[in-house]
Amino acid sequence: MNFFWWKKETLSPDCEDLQGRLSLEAQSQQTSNGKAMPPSEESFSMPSKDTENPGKQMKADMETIAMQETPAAEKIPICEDPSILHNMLSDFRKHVNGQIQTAKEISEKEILCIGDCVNKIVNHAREYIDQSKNTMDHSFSEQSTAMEDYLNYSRQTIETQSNTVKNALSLSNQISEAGEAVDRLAGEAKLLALNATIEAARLGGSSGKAFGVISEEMNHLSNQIATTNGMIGDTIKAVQESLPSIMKQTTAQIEKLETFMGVMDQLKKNMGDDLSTSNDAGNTHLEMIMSLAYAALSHLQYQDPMIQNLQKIDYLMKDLHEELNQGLNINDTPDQIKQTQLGCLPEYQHHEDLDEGDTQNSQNSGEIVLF
Amino acid sequence: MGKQILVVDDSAAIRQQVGLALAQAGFEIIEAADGNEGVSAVDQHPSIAMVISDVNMPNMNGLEMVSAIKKKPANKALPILMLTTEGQPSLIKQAKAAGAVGWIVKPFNAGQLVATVQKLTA
Repeated sequence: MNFFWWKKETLSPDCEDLQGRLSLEAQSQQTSNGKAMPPSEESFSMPSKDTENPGKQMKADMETIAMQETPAAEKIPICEDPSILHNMLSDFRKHVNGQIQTAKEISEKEILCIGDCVNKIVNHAREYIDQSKNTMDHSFSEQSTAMEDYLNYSRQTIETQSNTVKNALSLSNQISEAGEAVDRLAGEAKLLALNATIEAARLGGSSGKAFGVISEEMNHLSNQIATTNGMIGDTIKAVQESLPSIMKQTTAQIEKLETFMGVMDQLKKNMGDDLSTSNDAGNTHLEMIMSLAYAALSHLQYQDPMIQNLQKIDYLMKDLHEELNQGLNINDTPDQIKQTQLGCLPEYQHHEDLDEGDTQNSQNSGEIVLF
Repeated sequence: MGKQILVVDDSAAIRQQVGLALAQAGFEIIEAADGNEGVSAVDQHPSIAMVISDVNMPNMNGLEMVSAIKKKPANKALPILMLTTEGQPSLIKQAKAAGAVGWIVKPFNAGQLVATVQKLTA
């Protein structure tokens, strides 16, 4: 990179424009450095122009150039004190590297904060969704258990009631049978009373009178037994008549309970489906949040390539510095030049063993190549 | 406890971004800031399941680190994935020769990186 000096070479006849441009740029360099270049015989000078006869002027120019037998590639200093340029570039490099380092530190700090926020957002979302899922699962499980317990209790109660009614029916049948036996006993007692009356009439006197009393009492007793048994029979009959109705009601209750249990099972299934849908929706939202977080992380990566590219500016400046020093005959060693960089930016190893022309990326950003 | 992934990069931001992406997928992250720290971390944590490393780093670069890690027979099967801004074929060739399993040019897609790590550590 011959930015700061010009090499005087023998120009071909068609290089007049180049020669003129070089001379003008050299003058411009003098002005920008603020130092006047001492006139030198070795400096290029524009031949006087003959505007009326360009062909003649060109020939004269060529002769002038031919007479300047300057050795090829001779370096022409562009300032009186080369170390000023050297120091200016050193300072400039330090300044630029300092700015790059500051930019790196600030942007890295901010990006770490943003990354931390992204992480917190994802964690918060994950925690919230997990918590919601657990709460709903727990609530659903609790309600299902309570409902099942209540229905089982109701079923057991109705079944117990049904069994009690069946037992009552059975007992009432037994009582009816006992009532029939009592009826027979009452009939026998009435027959005995009749026999006693006949015997009392046959015996007569005091003996007959005693039999008469017994006969009368037995008759009275048999009537009372019959009356009482009849009342019991009526009651049992009323109970027996009511039991089928109770039994029917109990059966209806069991049927209703079974229907209700079927409805509850369907409800439970629907709630389970809703819960599953809700959980799936939660997972979908979490995946979306994760996807957005990943996208945010991808965008945050701009900082690293940006800083690395900025750091490459120093590689260019270092090359420039070396070439400048060569041009100005300053014998800084490469380590001394490198030292300008140290303390500001980390020194990366150059990949100087790259194949010629192997400077372009063969992969697109984000592309993953597995060997 | 998830599988341990070593992330080697001199950029704290990149370490964080790779770490966040992998941590969300259930991996445990160990960080190193250059090749020297990377080699030490592999020695200290034999349970590391995979290494993701930058190439351009101070002290010891990523390619040197791969060679140093792969020198040890115990690390022959340890997958090392290069994650870098560089993409020159010569460098990729060197990484492959040193024993790396793959190459990603930054910026990376976090989802794809996670999928690749899951595949390589399965």
